[in-house]
Amino acid sequence: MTTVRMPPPLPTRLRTQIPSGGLSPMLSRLAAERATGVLMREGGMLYLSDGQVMYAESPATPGLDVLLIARGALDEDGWREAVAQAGARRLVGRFLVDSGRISQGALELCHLGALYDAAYFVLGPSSAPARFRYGEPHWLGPVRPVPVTAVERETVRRRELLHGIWPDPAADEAPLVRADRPPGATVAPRQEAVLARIDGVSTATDISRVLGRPAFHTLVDVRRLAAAGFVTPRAAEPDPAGPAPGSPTPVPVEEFPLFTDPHITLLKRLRDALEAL
Amino acid sequence: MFHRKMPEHSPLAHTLRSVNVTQPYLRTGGEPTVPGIDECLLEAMQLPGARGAAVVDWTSGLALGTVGDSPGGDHETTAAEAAELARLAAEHRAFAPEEDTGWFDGMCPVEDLIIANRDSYHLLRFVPTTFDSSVFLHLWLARSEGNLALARIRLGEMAGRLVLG
Repeated sequence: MTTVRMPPPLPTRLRTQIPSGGLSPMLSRLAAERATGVLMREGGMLYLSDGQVMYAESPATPGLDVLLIARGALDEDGWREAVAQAGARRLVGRFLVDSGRISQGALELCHLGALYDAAYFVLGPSSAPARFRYGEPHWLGPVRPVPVTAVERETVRRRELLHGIWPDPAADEAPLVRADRPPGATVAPRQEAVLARIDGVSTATDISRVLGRPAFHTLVDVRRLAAAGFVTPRAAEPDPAGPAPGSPTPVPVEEFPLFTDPHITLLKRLRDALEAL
Repeated sequence: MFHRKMPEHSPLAHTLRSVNVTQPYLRTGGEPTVPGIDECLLEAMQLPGARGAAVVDWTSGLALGTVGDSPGGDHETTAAEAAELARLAAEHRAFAPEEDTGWFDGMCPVEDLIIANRDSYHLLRFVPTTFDSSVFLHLWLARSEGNLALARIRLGEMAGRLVLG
């Protein structure tokens, strides 16, 4: 009899420490000076108005339009018309509600989901320099602005949440491969939807786009599936033509074996936890 | 997070609202408000015995909006803890109906969760959406004043109105 694997408790923000200076020192400064404009980082863009986060966009996750259109909350023509009619005035959100295409509540829920989701990727670790362009509010307009500190705290909390489920981030960006289904194990319906789209090519981002689901939500399910042994990231394949002449000899990448023995899994978790100290 | 003042209402309002349950939320002056997250939470707080309410995403444990008090005084901790419970209920086969056990048109197989302790009730109501989401309404009720049956009906209507307008 397989017992249900109890996921670790969701981290709470009280225990969540933001590194001093914030996740992005530039962002903290912009919030303090109540700046309006767009912060461009390696992972995407954060739109500020009066120092508050109005919206966020990242190539790693579907935008508000994809989320709304994918399941039919809005049709594509309706979205296009709203952007055409109200985009220049930067009031697309308002227009969608006023024209009866979507309710204020649905827009707020979807918008907040998309905002925190994209912000998680925008505020991800990055070595590239950030840039800020003043004076360009997002064309969506105000829907439900969020303070910068709330976005930063939530981003850190989400990192801890993923780390607590399964500490190996390899599955977050790599194409995913289905492993042999552990005998007797069951998968929750929402995870089943993710599992059904794992084809050895698609990444978590690709699957999110198809499902019309925020990518962080997919990452939670992917890490759960990885922890339960359903899914592994596809190992980078060596170039069949061999290394190009003159290129440096490739350093062998550490191969992760498939973990089926729970003791090995435990040891790996322990090792990751120690390394994270 | 939540800055608006609670609207004033007469004691009669509860009686009227419990009779005319489908009436949309009205601002003083009779103009229907746009039913966003805040209006939904304010409406929940008008239920007898309401101590606090929140809209929570159960995948991440994030509170998307909060109003009133929270057990222990911290809405964020409460949201994370309630989210764990909601997720267990939403995902496990044991709590799904005999037929149509999966997610259907944005409907969670579970409608709501009720928890009763010595001094209060907690009501968690899943919000059906026309886009992919994992959101529920959480209402905290004082047991001495709260009417669980009424709160359950009303919270279900609020969850529907929040998304359908």
